[in-house]
Amino acid sequence: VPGTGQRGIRIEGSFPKAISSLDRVFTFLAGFVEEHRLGPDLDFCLKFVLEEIFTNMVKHNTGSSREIRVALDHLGHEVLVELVDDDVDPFDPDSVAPLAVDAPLEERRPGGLGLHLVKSLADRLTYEYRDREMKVSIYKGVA
Amino acid sequence: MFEIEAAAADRVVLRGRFDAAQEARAKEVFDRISGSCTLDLEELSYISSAGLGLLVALQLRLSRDGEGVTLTNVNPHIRELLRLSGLDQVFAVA
Repeated sequence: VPGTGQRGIRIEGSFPKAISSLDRVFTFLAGFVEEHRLGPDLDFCLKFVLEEIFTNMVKHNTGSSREIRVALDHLGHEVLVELVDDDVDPFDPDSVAPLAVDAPLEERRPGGLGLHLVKSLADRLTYEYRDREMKVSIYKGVA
Repeated sequence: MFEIEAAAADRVVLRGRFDAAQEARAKEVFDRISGSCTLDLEELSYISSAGLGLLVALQLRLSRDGEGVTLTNVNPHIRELLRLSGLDQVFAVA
């Protein structure tokens, strides 16, 4: 039954800062989803938020080539997706202008779509930056 | 796995997981589309904002010539992304 997986041990992985890492990132996530029997809705949501934040770090945090650390945790009533990127400049997701969802086609501009959707899909998103380490945590309830 | 196939001049079929790593492959196919077309998403299980951005760019280019994109067989998860981003008002969704 989806969503009834037991609260488990946090799992962590490190991935080279490259778009080509996405296959490995998705495989890492798939093991977690299967272990906790999270169901297709949560699976889709977790894929989306994880990819978007990961690719944002790849594209924008170019000052460091250190691996991106990903942690997944089943907290009982919700799932945590945590990404940590070390030795990077700050970037606060809340500093991004809201997406104009009512804008007509000709006024649509690249950028902001992924973050808008992450915020829409997630229950909570927190951002921490300390000693040049960026941590983004996304929480999504288990239905 | 991701596949993109121009099944006809006006019909493209997308399958699998359309993540950011697939941008170049998809763009190559989209760049060859010159008139109104249908994108069949029946077997597309996932799309990222990178994929959605390519769809928007295609729609924008075609619309300048009075043409457009129709999305068919959109699964509920992708339909929700379209709704949350307002892109369900940008594309014809059949």
